This record gives sequence, structure tokens and C-alpha cells, in this order.
Amino acid sequence: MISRVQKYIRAGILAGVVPTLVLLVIGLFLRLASPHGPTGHQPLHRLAEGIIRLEPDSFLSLGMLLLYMTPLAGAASALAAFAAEKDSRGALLTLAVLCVILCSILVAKR
Amino acid sequence: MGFTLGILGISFLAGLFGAMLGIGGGIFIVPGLTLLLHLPIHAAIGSSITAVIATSSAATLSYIRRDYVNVRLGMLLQLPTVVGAVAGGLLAVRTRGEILQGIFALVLIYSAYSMARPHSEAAEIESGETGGWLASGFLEPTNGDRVEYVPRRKWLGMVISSAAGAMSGLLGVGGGFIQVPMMTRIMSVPARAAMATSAYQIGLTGAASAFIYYSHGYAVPEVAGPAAVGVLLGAKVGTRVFRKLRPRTLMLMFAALLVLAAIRLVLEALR
Repeated sequence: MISRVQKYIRAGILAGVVPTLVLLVIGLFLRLASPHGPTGHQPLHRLAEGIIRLEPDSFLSLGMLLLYMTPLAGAASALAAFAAEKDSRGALLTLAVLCVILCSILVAKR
Repeated sequence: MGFTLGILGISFLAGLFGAMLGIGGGIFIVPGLTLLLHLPIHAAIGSSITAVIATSSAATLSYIRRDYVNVRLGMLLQLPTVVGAVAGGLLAVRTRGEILQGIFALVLIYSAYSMARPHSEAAEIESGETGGWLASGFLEPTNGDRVEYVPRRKWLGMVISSAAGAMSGLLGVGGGFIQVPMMTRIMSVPARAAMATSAYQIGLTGAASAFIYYSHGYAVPEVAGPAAVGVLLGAKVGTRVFRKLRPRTLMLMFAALLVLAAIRLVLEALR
């Protein structure tokens, strides 16, 4: 019998994994079918435009970013479950982990 | 097209062998992409970290359903691990490729040594001991018995976890090669729970440094995307086909392969 925390984490990760796989597989097929070479690193503001134009690397980039967010979705779900169970130690630890990762995103954007 | 298929093939084999040997695919992806496709090591590491997050997410879905993951222990160890991973990632993007290749070669040799040596017994597990915030348990599938345990030496575990995180951020490997033996031998966690908890942790550890690699342009979509798909497929096949197969000769062969890869990485770095 799995706990509420485990159920929430599973739901959070599943919510990230499914769209990630869809985007990566579409991007992969487009890349294999595309006569053009790679367009390289995709800046965030170009992703929507690239997806409309069916550019493979835009699908792959968006899939990668969703994949990076997936463990965070799992941790955010764990935070909600710890809070619901009034497990303050678990909630604080999870919050601290999420804060460190969010700091790394801010540092990376600089 | 040939390049994309090459990445798919390498990452598929990495996932397959990783699942077969129980060590994750990251340790094979970086030398595979660097030595066979001649990618710069920073791009190989960025792709490996993406693949590592993919395998961790898939493994967690399976392990958490079976109640093997100790989420509280995972979160406790995760805090120092992500701090180490962010530091490792920031250091990696500022480090010359040749130096990273040298460090990676050392990790390959350590991994080869771990594979080749006979498995020593884990520290004695206080089975049946219950209580405490970190206490957990699971049903052992081989005999149906309930295994209860309480992790010990938390502080030492946290210190070692920060080193595992730094290695993961620096080299794009999962860090399980440090975390799993640390949990079993030092913290007295049963092997099954240690592997599952480590697999869960690796995703968060990878995410902590992945954004750094992405923003520096080292997680290149045409490499990292196919690598993530390939390693997932390989791990899926590997887990199904080789679930109970871990022959010693195969382990020794792969250990020798890792030593050869380490030597080639060093030779290329010295060129």
C-alpha cells in the first residue's frame, strides 16, 4: 500500500513524462525526416514560433525543458502531500530542495 | 540522419547495458558520444544529464508503485546533493574539456573497479527495527516478506551525498555509483530500497544542473533529445530482458571496456 506522498509524486512525474515523450518522439521523427541540418540551441522565445513551423529542434528543446521540469513537478507534488499530512519536516526539506533548484535556474539564466 | 541514428544507437546501448548491469546509462553515454561521434565533452555531458533525468523519471514511476522508494530519506539526502550538483554544474561550464575528460576517466576506472570486485555484504540491517521519521519498509518480491529498516548515520550520508551531487553536476552521470553503496554500506538501507531511492534522487539532482548546461548551450537538442529517447528505450528493453541476469563474466567484460574508454579519453585529452 503506497502512501499519499508516493501517489502524489507518481502523479506529478507522470504528468511530466507523458507530454515530454510525445514532444521528443515528434521531434525525433521530424529530425529523421528533415532534409535540413540541425538549427542548434533554441532560445526560449523562439520555441513557439519553431513549433508552429514544425522545426524538429524546437520540439526537442521543448521536450527537454519539460523533462527537466518533471522531477520538479514530482517534488512539488511531494510538498503538497507533506503539507496535507502536516509533516512539517518533510515539507520544509522538500521546499528547501525546490528553492536550491530554482536558484540554479536563476543563476543559469544570468 | 546518420548522426541522429548514431546518437540513438549509442544511447540505446547505454540504456540497455546500464539496465543490465544496474548502473544507469550515463557512464556509457559520455564516452560513447565523445569517442565514437567526436562530440565535445561539454555537449556529451549536457546530453547525458538529459538522458539521466529521463531514466530516473521512468524508473521512479516503476519503483514508487512498488513502495521501494523511501521519499523522506531521499529528500533528506537530496538537499546536500542538489547543492553539490549546482556547484558541480557551475564548475563544469567553466572547466576546460581536457580536464573534464581526465576526471571522467578516473570515474570510469572507479566504476570498472566496482563492477569487477566481488560484491561485499552490506552493513548489517536491523531488520524488524521500526520507528523514527526515516523508518520505512517494503515487500520483498523474492520471498514475500515485509522488510522494515531504519537508516543510520544520516549526517555522514548527507556529507557523502554532496560529493555525489558534485560528481553528477560536473560529469553528467547519475551519482548512483556513489549513493547506492553509501546507503547500503554506511546507512544500512536494504539494496532494493537504496537503488530505488537513488533512482528517484537522480532526477532532481540532474535537473539542478541541467538548466545550467541548457542555458550555456551545452544541452544541444539534436543530441540530447535523441539521447533521452534512446536511453529510455534501451533501459526498457534491458530491464525486461536482463532482469535477473548479471553474469560475472559480462561484468568483467564491461569493466575492461570502461578501462579502455578511460585510457582513450586520457590519450585524447593529452593530444
